[in-house]
Formats: sequence, structure tokens, C-alpha cells
Amino acid sequence: MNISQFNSPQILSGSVSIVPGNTAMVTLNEMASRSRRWLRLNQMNVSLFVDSMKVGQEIQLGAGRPIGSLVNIRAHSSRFSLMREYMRVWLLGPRTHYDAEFLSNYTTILGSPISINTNALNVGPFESYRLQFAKPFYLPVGDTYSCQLSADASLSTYITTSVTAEVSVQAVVLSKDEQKKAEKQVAEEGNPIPFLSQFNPFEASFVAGLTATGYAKSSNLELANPFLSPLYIKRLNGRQKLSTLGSDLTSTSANTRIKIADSRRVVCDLTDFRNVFNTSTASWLIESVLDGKKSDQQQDYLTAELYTANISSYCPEISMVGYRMEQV
Amino acid sequence: MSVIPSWASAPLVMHSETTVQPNSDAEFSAGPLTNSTGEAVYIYEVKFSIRPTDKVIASSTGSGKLVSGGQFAISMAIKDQDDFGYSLTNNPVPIWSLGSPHNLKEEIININLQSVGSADRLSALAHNHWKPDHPIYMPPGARFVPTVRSLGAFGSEAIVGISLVCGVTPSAPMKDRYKLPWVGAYLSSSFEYNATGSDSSADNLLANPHNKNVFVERFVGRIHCLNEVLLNGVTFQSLRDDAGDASSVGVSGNNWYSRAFRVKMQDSAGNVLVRRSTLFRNVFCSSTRTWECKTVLPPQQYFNVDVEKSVLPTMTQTIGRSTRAQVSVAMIGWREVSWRKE
Repeated sequence: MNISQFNSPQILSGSVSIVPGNTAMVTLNEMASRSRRWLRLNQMNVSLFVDSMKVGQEIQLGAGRPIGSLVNIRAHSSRFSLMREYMRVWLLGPRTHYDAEFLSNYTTILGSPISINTNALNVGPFESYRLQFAKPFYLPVGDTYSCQLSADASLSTYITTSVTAEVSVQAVVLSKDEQKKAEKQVAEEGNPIPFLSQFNPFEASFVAGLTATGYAKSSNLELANPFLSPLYIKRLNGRQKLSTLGSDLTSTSANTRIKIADSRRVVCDLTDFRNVFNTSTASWLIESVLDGKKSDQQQDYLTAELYTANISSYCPEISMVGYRMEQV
Repeated sequence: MSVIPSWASAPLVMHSETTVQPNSDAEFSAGPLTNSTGEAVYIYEVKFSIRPTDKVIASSTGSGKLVSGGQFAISMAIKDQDDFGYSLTNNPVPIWSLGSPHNLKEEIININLQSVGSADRLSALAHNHWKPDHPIYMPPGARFVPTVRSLGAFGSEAIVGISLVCGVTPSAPMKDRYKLPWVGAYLSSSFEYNATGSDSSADNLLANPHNKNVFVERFVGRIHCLNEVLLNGVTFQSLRDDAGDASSVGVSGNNWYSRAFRVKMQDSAGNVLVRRSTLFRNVFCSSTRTWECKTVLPPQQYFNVDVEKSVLPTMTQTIGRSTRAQVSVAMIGWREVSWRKE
């Protein structure tokens, strides 16, 4: 009996250093399957870390602006784009453990700040995020999976050189029998290709320190289904950057609010942000669908209205995570 | 679909404790972990508690130790009245590597900061639990046989408790085959903070030595950090996960080692599981410490893990930082066995 009769787990991975204001690509070779069998992709893990900080800036980055809120990712297979545009890394998925995802060397497990310990001076945090695909999807033989990453220019305020991003995909090399089943499924029903998009309207004003009430409504582009087939929405994620210490977990829901609608009303009135995306997961398992069949000219889309009491203090942003069935 | 059989009935918890010395093994007394109900019993969950016996720190200048599931490893078996039975573990498995942590900050350390001289001052307790993928069948009269090993990082005597959360199933007919856990673990060498190095797992650790397939559900990867924490003038040694402890005090090096450890993996049939030297935290997902791999390990096959440790950024002091670390990788699976002896 040989192990190749069975599905075999595999990790695809690659890493890059990104200078603030620039983009970098995780090379295709490193993220490609070397197998002559189909791959089934289950989950993407992204870890971010900085080894050298500008003196005195550690706590600004760690507590108020996690690196995951300043680094962006765009993933695609060689045939399909998985994202409408660059996505905030921390908007990829729900938070499972706060202390596992983001725990810098100067915050406690609850996110409240402690003073910078001289031991940790000048060394930035290590953060990990994950995108669990709404449905595992298939990468046929010869296809590749790759990622581009970018870092906001404002990151240069805090770090001396670059941020390191390592991307990995938990995959399965399909056995001969499993591949036959997968080929049949893809031919009949389609391949469940992930699709993510985001809405973060206050970023520029937040970085500029604009002291004002903020209100923004998404257009028919940001949270839309751009396909002619249905887009199945698994979840919505909601995060918020803060100018003061404490990061995303600090209770500021009264200061940030959200209202959501599609063709129906979803969140009827401006509601506390953390009542929609709860504190422990920063996410809402919505299990909905944008059917993509309104007309040839009109896309199906969600409309989100975001409110912040003070743009310079609270910067909410949301993402939509789903998949569509693509015939290969 | 629930894993609890529809005919499950009375709940039952069996509990036993033992005292284990540093670098030693200790067995649990058989009586409390014996199925004396006269009926079949299924174990749904196994829970562990660990506490030091020298918890009292009388002065503010002493030193102490904090416990965690990474300092102790467990071997488990089930045997019937004729001493016929099966092992659940291939080798001692670090207790916190049995399953995905539900809450990292609750599983590790609970410090009770009382006034100096108080009998309760700085007591510590660690809790871990393991929910097998399939309930473990215990025939009438069978006993659960655990052995705990203190791995040495905890240099004092400790009391380890084990609780079996069960269901008594009076009307359960004996089946031909039962799904029984099979767990193996690899614990790497220990690396100093500023050292580089590498280590590889032996072929007999993440292995299937049986003559039937092992169905591997997941790998669990943990980073064990030996830490010195300064609490109100008292230096504490602990071994904890790389993401913080529950003290909210003295945490100055969280996730340090997450950037230092990388891993490659392959199996004995030549399949490469992790080709490129990959961040340990990206293989064993940071939020769950697991890789849900769902694969089959045929008879006499095994997995190999190659670990690399790089140098970490400079830290100027030693108090409050982890002085050295090692990683563990556990393979959590199951196999089918028969309790029929005809």
C-alpha cells in the first residue's frame, strides 16, 4: 500500500519584504503546486512582522494600528482573481483568539497597553491572520496561486525599513479517486472560487488626523457581485483602527455605527459597530447571496453606511467574504 | 451530526490524580479510572489539571515556577480485565498538544496575587482538555491507563489530575470495530535565544507502527518558551505558549519565537508536505495552533519534521524574556480496533 493512493496534505508558501508605499509579489514558483494532481485549497495564513522600529514609535503601531491594518493583499489563481482589489490583511477573516492573532510585545492579552519594556525596544510585533475559504476550491494541474502585497506609506512613520510578510496556503493533493470526483463536481456545479471585497472610506482622513464626524456610503462597486452568477456571501468582517491606545478591541461601539442594505434592509438603522460585528470575532456569519441576475447593466450589491464620531480617532472598515461557482 | 450515540444515557466523570517528580514518570491509581459500571462507557472528553505543590512563596525575594501543559507529557492506553488492550499514544505527548486551544490565555497560567506571606500567594494552575474526534469505547471492567512525564522544564514536584468525561451506555451492543485515537508527538531540541540550529524528528515518533491505516485528522504545533517573569520582585520561571500568559504582567516578549522557527515536512513515501522552509506559525495556524490536514497514514509509514531556528532581534535584558524555546508537533488521528477476542 502506498501513501499516494490517498489525499496528501501540502503547504504552499512564500515570503516577501515590503517597503512602505510599495508592492511586492510572492513569487509564482513558490506558491505553485509541483504536483501532477489537483490541489484543494482550504485556508490561507498570513503572518506579518517587523524586526526594526523607529525609536518611540513601537506603541503607536502596536496598539493603535496593527500591521494587519496597514498591509494589503491581493490573491489570485492563474485563472481567477480572488479579490476585487487589495484587501486589508486583518479584514480577511474573523478573529479566533485575540491573543493568538495579534499580541505585540507591548500590549497585554486584552489589548490594553502597558509601558514599553526596555527588553522589547525597537522590535516590532508579530501578527498572524487567516482566510478560511468559504468553500475549499480546486487548483487544477498547471494552475498557480499567487499573491501581491502592499504596505501603506504611513507605515514608514513607525518602521525603519520593511515589513516581512509570509503567506501560506493549507492545501490537499488529491488522490486519483478524489480528483475524479472533483473533476466531475467542477464540470457539473463549478469550482467555488473565493471572492472578497472591502469598504474602508476613512483611511486617508484618519491618517491625516481629520477631526470631524465621518459618514460614508458605499457605492454599487465596493461590496458588489460583479459576476453574472450568484455570489454566496459567507461573512462580513468589521474592524476599526484607533488613534489612541487599545486597538481594535477597545469598546468604542457608540462612536462607530453601521447600516447595511441590499435589495432589502439588512441592518435597518445605524447600529453600534460592535453589535453587528461582535467583539470576540469582529465578524458576522451572514450566509446570504447576491444573485447577480438583476440585469445586464446593473450589478447586485450591498450598501454599507458607516458613521464615525471622530475620523481622527475611530476608523471603521468592513469586508465581504464569499465565493462564486465558476465552470472550468 | 452529533458524535454522541443516540442511545447514550447517564453522564459519568472519572477522576484521578498523581504526583510527578521532575524528569520522572508517574502512573495514576487504576481504581478511579476503571469502568466499574458493568456497562459500556464512551469517553467524550479528557481533561487535565496541573498544579505545583510548592505554591507558597513566603517572601518577596524568592523564586517560583508556573505550570503549563507544555511541561508535562501523557501516555494513554485502555486495557480490559485480562490486560488486553490498546495504546492511544505512540509516545508521551505534551498535554497541550492534544488539541486546538479554545482559549490560550485560560489554558496556561492562573496567578493568584495575594499579599506577601499569604498561603495562597502566587499559586498557579494549568488546565488543558482533549476532545477525541470519536468517543473512546471502554468495555465493562476496562481501565484507562495514563502515565504522565515531567519533561524537566518544570523543576519541582507537581500534581497532575486527569478527568474522563463519559457516558454510560447500558444498551449498547458490542460492535465489530471501534475508532480509537492514535497520537504521536515530536519534541524538538531546545534552542537558546541567540542561537541558530536545526533538529529533525525521528522516524518512530509521528508514525503508524500498526498493520492498518491511521486516519490523521490534524497536526498540532506548539512553541514552548521557557520564560522568566518578574512579578512584584519575585522571579518566576515558566514554560508557556508563545502567545502570552494570563498574568497581564511582565509580558515583554510575546510571539518572539514565532518569527524564529521554521519547518519542513515530508512523509516516508516521498510526499512533500511542506517543501519550502516555512514559518512554523504559518503551517500550524496561529489562531488554532493546528493544521487540519485530514489524511491517511498507511501501515509502517511515518512523517518527518525538520525544524530550523534563526537568531532573534537583540534584547538587552534577560528578565521577562524567554531564554530558550523548543517546538512540538503532534499528530492526532485514529484507527479501527476490535475488542472481540474470539
